[in-house]
Amino acid sequence: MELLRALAAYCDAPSVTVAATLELPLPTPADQAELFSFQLYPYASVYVGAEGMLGGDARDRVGGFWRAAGATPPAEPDHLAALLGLYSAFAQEDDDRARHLRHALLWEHLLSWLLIWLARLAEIAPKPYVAWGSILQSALLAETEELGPPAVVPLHLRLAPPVDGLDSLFSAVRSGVVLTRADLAQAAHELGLGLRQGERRYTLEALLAQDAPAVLGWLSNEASRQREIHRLLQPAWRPVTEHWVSRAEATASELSRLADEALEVTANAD
Amino acid sequence: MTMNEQLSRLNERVKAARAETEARGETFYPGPSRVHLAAFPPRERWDDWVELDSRSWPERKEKRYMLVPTTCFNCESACGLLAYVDRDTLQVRKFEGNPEHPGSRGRNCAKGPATLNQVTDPDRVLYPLKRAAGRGEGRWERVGWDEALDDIASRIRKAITEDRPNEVMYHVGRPGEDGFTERVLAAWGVDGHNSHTNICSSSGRAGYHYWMGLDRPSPDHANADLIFLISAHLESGHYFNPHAQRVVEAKQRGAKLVVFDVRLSNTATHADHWISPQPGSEAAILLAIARELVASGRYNREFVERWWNWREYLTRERPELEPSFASFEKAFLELYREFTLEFAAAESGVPASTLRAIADLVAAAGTRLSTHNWRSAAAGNLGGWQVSRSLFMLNALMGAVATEGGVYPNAWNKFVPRPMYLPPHPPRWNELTWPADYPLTMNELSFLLPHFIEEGRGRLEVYFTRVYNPVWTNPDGFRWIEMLTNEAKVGLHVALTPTWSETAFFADYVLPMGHGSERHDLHSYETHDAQWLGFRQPVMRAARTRLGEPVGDTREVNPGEVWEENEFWIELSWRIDPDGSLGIRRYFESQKKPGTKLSVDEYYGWIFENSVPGLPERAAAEGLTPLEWMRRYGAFEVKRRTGAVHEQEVPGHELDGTVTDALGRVFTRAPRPGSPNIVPQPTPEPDSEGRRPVGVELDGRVRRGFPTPSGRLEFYSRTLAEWGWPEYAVPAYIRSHVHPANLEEGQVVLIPTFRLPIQIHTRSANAKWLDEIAHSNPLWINPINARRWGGICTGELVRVETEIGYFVLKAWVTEGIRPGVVACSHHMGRWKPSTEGTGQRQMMATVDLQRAGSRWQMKRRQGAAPYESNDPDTRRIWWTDVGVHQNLTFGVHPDPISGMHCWHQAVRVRRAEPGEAAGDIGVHIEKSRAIYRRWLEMTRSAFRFSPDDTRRPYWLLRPLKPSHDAYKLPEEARR
Repeated sequence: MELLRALAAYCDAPSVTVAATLELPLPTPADQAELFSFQLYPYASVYVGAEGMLGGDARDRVGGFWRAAGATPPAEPDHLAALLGLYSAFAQEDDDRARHLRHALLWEHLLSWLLIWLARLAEIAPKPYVAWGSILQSALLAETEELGPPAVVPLHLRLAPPVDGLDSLFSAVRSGVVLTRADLAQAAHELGLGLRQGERRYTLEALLAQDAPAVLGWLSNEASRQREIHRLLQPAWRPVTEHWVSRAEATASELSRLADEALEVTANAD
Repeated sequence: MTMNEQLSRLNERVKAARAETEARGETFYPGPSRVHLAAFPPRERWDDWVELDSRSWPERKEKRYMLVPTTCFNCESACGLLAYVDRDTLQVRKFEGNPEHPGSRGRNCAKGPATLNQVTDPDRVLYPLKRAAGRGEGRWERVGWDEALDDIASRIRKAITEDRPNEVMYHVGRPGEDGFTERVLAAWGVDGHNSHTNICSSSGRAGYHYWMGLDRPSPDHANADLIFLISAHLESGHYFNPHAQRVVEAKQRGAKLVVFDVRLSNTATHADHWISPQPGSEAAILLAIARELVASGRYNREFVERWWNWREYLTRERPELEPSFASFEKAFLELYREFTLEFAAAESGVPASTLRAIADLVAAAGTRLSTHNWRSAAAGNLGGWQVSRSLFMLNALMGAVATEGGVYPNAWNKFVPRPMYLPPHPPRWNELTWPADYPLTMNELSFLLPHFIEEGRGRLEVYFTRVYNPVWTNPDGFRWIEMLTNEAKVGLHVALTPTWSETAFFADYVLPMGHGSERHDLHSYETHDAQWLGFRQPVMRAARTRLGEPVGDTREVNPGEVWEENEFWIELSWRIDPDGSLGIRRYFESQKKPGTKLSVDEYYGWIFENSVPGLPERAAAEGLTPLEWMRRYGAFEVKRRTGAVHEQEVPGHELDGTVTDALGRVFTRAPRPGSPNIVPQPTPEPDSEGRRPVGVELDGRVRRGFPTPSGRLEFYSRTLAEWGWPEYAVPAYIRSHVHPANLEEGQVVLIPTFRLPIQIHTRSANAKWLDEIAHSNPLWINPINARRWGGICTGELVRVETEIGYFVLKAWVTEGIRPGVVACSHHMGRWKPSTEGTGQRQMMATVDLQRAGSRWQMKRRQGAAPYESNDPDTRRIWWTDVGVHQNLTFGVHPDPISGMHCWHQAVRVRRAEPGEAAGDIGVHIEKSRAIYRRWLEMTRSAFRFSPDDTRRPYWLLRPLKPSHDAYKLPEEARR
């Protein structure tokens, strides 16, 4: 589907021509930087890796898929634009192997993380990208309906370890929650806490140091809120959304327990 | 409209927009982008490309550029460059990769972008200079081109008309356009071509040449399952960038990499198996692997039976055996019975189990085995040519020849377009470059020239060193200084160079030639299975032409009076033969305007219109002439995937009056069909009735075969057997001059050949970015040796003693080198005499040169230092150490067969003596003479061994091949 390649170009290196063809406004460089460099990194490994960071085993798995498909992995094989470009290449070929590869790529390396990513994008992205995300989501749904469900849950999700400590909150595949810088800023704002700008873990530590029970409670509510968003995703995507719903639910529950414990500790200290 | 309908409409809209854009020759997905490999400015915007000016940050100031392609002139790879010409000032602001170049595909190493440093180098040679005192005394005066040209031309004319054509010699370092200067010399009727190749790749070439008739491999690394390198490809291999990027692609795909290197090179760090053998033992290992493959039946039996000249081997060497392939297999195993993996392990110091693992990898790779050896072990050792020969035997055994992922003969992946004029072969033979002592040498015995001149074998009236620095690059450099300062022996020395060099200091004229963005050349290299043509061009000439300001003489747009080299040779040839009476001028005349000089535009325009299939059509599609198209894009892919040429059936019109000999070689009376591709090919001899060899009979058909005497891959070389070397008629192991048995007590092996990826010989020393990264060459010493030599530490001064002298340098103690071996990199140790008022200052030390009796000494007076210039960066030079010029202390080691200088040295290492300083050098010139004579004694001269009273097998490749008659030995010298 050429449309997916154009959507990829729009998110990676938007040009007047491509934007006009897609009937979308041209995003500003500032919008692009804010969204993709600070809030929602467009890399699969950030969301399906056990560390919640760029690279690592998750990126290797994506790179392995490129190789298995007979293609040379680019420097960043898990970048959304690269994956959509690859998908379009498969879609251009009309044979069983290409269709099989397309199906595998769709479920294993796109839908496994892109749905929750797009859901968050719809909430926080500048307008041009909200419109872009909406087209992309529709295109993914059309592809899902054409290709059908997977035989098994994607490997990234099957390999995901459970949440283990607050650090793993930032691994979406473990926690079921996508926490952005904007979310932490929102938490600080709502709780009346000081926000220390920095990497997300650093910001969260600073918030917890100020008022751990309140921050944990806020995070628990946020996990519950995101769980509901996951639940509302299309039924056709259930093979992956079930993972996200269950993980978000477990995270909400665990954070709630931690909040209670923290409150107790605080009370005892007083 | 449903969502699916909306998506479908949008999808159709995108497809239509893309098709419409691309139909205009434009790019729909502009870069940089991951989506469509478009990380470059789209080509339709090369006339007016806009970027933000980095120096104006944070202000968003736009810079407008015209992008003009050219070709890098640093290493030989000829990668594409894209010059960013500022449209306001018409100055080149930067160089990046040319995405249209099929070999380099937009990627460059550090040396490509550093072309900018070379162009703006404050110390570069900008005007013709003539010496104003004795040769080498360091005083120069600026002269006009006319004066220099008239002087040089009159001397050449005199030499030619007085029947002394062999006194004119052109000595080339970095090659220019394929065949251009050879044709200039042929037009003059002079056998005066001299190259650097016998200090570079002759042994590597010889190994390939004897197998397949062509002297260079073209490995298809990108598609290989196993890449087997006896080189440091990822940092400094001959095709560093184009091959490195393909090796990395294969690695990413899962291919295995085996690297043989005594040193932990950057390439070795990427290897699945890094093998660090005893230097010189490589051929033993390779033969053992070959034997293992055959003994275990894990080789491509069908390919070997079809394509090896095993019948010829049995007929000539084992006539007692039944002429069957089974007999050959048996004979093969008998021949190599000594070469067990255990024997190889004992020779190399590498465990037999490791060698077995490598043999298993080779067997598993099948026809997807890409191998490469160019310098490295081939260039280091006596008999090094047997390393590349044994390596290629693995390909020949596996059938990995001209296969996807295998190795091609280079000429199948190279395109040299036929030019307007092809002068005849010169009727002379030059004994100074092709002496009868070395009838099989792959290239000119260039590094022996001072010895030959001293012995009275000849003199030179006019000697051009062209982008070459033999005083520094060749071994035994003090002998070069002695030759060049002897005005009776060298009448006129003309240095054609873009930058100062140790050799230019000893010239009569220093004439400024252009860098990569200031000159024309056509190049084609075997980077993968394709044929492409790259166009180097003066960037400002192309830019001004694009702006509608045609340029006549490239000096109008180059800096100072720097000249475009083709124009120089055309002008010089006209001055040698101003009235055309010598028959020279006609090869340099315009066809459009007879009687006037050929212009570079006409010269290249003719080639692109007449000799590059597909280019005129491609250009016409964009409304351009072929020349305009090449000036705009810089490279053209002529053919992709040449495939297995040897398997092609010879067409019927080439089969006229054919005969087939007993071994299946087919000869024809049909003339050779013309071809626009004149890539050099060997010329196997015709049969006794003058029919030319055209193919081999196989499966009842005549197939093209290989350009060898037998038409097959030659496991057995009749040439070697008949020219005095029957013991090496098959791939063999020759114990190196640095084999442990040849080392004296306390000696170790010095590897002086390895290179750094940042510098290139002596020509990149004027690139400040490169100099800052790499400017010194310490001695790599294993900690075991460091302890043995008294606890030498990194940074301490050590003294390395060679056969003829010594040099002093810093130590670097590292596990990255094999114990018992030390190594010192090439490129460093640049110097200028303290008497020299000019020279390059970023990487040249100032030295005192002294000769006392038969001893030469070099003492360093000053290293690099900050200095004032029009470039503020020269005030920021922070390094002083520029390394040591080790080559001065090496005697000459010509391999008696390939003619290659065998670089490895047997040395002693100890702490430096009090008073010695880094860079100090001493050489005993008498010892150098003795070394020369000792190696000369190993030769088997054509006078004694020629089977047909010729100087050299006619079929072998030779740059600037003389006429057939010139090959005959003098009557009085015949047996």
